[in-house]
Amino acid sequence: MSGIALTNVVKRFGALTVIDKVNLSVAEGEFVVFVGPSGCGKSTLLRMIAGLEEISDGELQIGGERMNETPPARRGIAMVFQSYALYPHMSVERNLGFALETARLAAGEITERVAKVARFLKIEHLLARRPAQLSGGQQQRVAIGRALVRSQKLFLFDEPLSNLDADLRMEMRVEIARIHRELKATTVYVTHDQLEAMTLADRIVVLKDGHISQVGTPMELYEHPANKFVASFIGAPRMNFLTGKLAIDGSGSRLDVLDARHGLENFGYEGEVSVGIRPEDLILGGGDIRLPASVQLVEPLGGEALVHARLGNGQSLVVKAQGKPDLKPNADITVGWLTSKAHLFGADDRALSAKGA
Amino acid sequence: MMSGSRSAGLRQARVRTAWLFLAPSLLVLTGVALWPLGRTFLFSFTDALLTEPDFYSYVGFDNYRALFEDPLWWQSVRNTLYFTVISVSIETVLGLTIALLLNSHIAGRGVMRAIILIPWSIPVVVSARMWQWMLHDQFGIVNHVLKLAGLIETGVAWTANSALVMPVIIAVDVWITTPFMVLLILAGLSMLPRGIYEAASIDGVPAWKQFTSLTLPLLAPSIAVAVLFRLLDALRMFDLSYVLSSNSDDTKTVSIYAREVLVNFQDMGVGSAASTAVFLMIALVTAIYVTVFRLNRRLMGV
Amino acid sequence: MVRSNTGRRLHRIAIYALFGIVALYTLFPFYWMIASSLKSGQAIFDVTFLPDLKFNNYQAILSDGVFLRSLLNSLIVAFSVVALSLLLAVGAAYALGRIDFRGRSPIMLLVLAVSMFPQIALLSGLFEMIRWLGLYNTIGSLIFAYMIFTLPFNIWVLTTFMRDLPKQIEEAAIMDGCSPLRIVRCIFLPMMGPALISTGLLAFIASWNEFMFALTFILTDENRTVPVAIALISGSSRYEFPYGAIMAASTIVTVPLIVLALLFQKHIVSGLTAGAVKG
Ligand SMILES: Nc1ncnc2c1ncn2[C@@H]1O[C@H](COP(=O)(O)OP(=O)(O)OP(=O)(O)O)[C@@H](O)[C@H]1O
Ligand SMILES: [Mg+2]
Repeated sequence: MSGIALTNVVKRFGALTVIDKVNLSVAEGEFVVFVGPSGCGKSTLLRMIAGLEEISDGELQIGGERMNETPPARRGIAMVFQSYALYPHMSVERNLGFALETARLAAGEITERVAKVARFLKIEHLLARRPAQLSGGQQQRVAIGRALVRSQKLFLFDEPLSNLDADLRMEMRVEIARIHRELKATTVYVTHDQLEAMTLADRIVVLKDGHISQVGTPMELYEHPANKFVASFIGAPRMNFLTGKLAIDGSGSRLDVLDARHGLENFGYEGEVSVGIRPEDLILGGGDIRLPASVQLVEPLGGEALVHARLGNGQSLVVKAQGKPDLKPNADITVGWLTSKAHLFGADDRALSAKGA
Repeated sequence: MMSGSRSAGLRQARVRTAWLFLAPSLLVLTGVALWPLGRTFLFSFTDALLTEPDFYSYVGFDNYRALFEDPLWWQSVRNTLYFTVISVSIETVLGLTIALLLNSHIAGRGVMRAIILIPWSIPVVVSARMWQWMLHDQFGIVNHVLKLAGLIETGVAWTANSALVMPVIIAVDVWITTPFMVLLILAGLSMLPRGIYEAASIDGVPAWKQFTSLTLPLLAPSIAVAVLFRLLDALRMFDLSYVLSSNSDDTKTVSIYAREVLVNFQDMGVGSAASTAVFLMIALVTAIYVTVFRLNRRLMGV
Repeated sequence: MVRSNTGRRLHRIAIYALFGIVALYTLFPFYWMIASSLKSGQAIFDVTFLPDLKFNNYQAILSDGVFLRSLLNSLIVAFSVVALSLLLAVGAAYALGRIDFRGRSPIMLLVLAVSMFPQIALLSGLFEMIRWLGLYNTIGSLIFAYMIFTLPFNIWVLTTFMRDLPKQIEEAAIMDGCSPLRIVRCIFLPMMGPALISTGLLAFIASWNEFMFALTFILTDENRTVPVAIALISGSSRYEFPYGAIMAASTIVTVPLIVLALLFQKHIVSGLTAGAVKG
């Protein structure tokens, strides 16, 4: 009983509306990740679920019960903070047991549960230390441990890994995935890092300016972004955008991009469009639509390389190429793609889809 | 706190907590400061006596008229202002000098800091007694040394001579409170950015120029706040004069005057009028000072 | 940077000479007080720089029940004021430093204003209040009256300190189920050690030294505190002024403060400057 349902949830700070009528439901045991640019309201939304921010309007249900007025500690939630927020004057052991101590559990049970969590997170040898005597990664483990000890059914994470370096981040990402696999607790996780989002999430929620832009599994968002914002936000390196013109042509459509054109299925749309192609979908010297370009820079990444190319109109494209292409700066190339891999966005930035297909 | 109830929002509960946590302090501050201040103001318009403060009638401005017609009151005002201006000026200059001295990176300055803290931290009564003994006309060490040096022939009655007693009190006050100045200015000095001095040294700016064009302007706000604290203290000075020269009109401060009327003469009316006048005087000085030096934002610090 | 070696050495010598002068100026009166207290009887009237190491004055003052009583009174008053003002101020500082509510700024302003009130302006009103509370001529009157200068200062300093504690720690404690009281007691209080020591020491020193209220609200010898006791010691005539006893009593009163000043120099200074230089 730990699913979450948000209905028309609004958050206002004075006159400023930060979250505007958000609707979302999270199933029991699901791992949901909030992503979005800085300031879009991810933390605010998470903190409203936690009870650290009051809900201005709308309803929050957890496990089918209205929770708007319930104090944080009685919502059946555990939370992990970006700064870890360990109590600096307490030993790791006391940090872990503090919530249980507050709930007046018997000393024996506290010790037992702390020991169990410490074993689970492999921090038994740290129990006697103070937070200041721990590395960042160890502090993070303790912070997670503090959440686990209370055996809640719902976990909230606000950018838990952003203070760690790349190696530790990967290690902890794997650890968080393992915890979720083993405990199957409902989890809401805020991050800036789309790699974390793609690898951890059952579903991703993309937020923009206090609205939900799109919700879906990582592959849905990658393959069928609902709008230009989501398309550019998901996937790295970012999707390339070119301006094109879509026109009705008999029973189908025709797309003009610079000097190239190609027939498409019927999109039922006429006018200027954005054509989005992911770097990994661009082909050097191939594709349905091909454009002449000149090489600006080649960034070898080992198994593959990023080729920065400039089109005739001065616009830049990034191409992800396999292997190690033998290209010199200023070399003339052609860049192309298969029209089936391209995403088209109308004037309102929404994705266009073929009619009757 | 206990916001289990449905109607109370989480924020409202927190605001309620705030008032709950503040209530005892507000109660005490009201009882010990606001209410007595109001009552003092009220008493200043009555003929109440200290022995039976419950029986009084209102006399309008009579007490203030009596106060302002008393030459001793005006002398107390003059004494207080004279003492304040002279002692705070000396302490500021001396404090700045010693602070700059202690700020140089040199072994032993921690010990110096501890030493100069001592005169400030002991009771003023003790300092007064100590100096009274050193300045004793017959057996005092000060007269003894001056005689040895051949500067005087017979002992000087430092605290009995009406021309000398005020300078003596100022000198003792300087001894007591210069450390306070030094410490506040040192704190200000420690917050100055290091980088600009290095830049100035590299640019070949001479040391005295660095002082007048960098240190002083940057330090000015710290000094201004320290001086304000000292002003407030000096204007209500009581202990030092009381112990060193209790009966002398030459060193009577407004605080001593007001307490004397109130406690010794039992005249709650005029005593309260004098108290109120002191309050207004200090409030006025503070307001002018804060406005002139634009300290309000710095003091609030919020 | 470009100064020569000898120049630098001269500079150092000059500074140490000034150190010496300042130290002598500051410490000599204490030396003289202690030296005088250790001379017995008439010897105090001979100016000799070395003390006799006679303890008659101390014997006299310590066998005087009244002085011991005032020492005890001073200790009770100072410790009670420290405890009470910190207890009240910590609660107020939590409200003012961490909760955003209407009325916060006005209250901060009020606290600042009260800390600037001259004591004399409250004297008659406070006199009445203390009578009404039945505290006249008890040390309870002083414990109460001393809140006027300790409480606003403590609230002010602790609020600025409390405000800078990390927000997420408090939120973690809220998630752990702590009530505001438990947050203050178990989380914030242990994190505020230095600020509590600073404000506590300053409250102690101020209460230990206070004179005017102690002179006014206490009527009889057995309830006095030491500053008043020392101020009121007198002889039968000007020439029999018991300076030896006064110096001994002064030494006894001063020693704990000197020890505090030397041990906690850093804390006292940071407390003094916390209110003033925070910007
Ligand atoms: N207490 C507050 N008062 C006023 N505005 C606030 C408050 N807290 C947050 N905001 C505003 O709400 C918006 C959303 O903030 P929030 O912290 O939720 O963003 P975020 O998506 O978590 O950003 P980041 O990725 O930088 O953490 C921001 O514009 C922020 O300025
Ligand atoms: Mg955030």
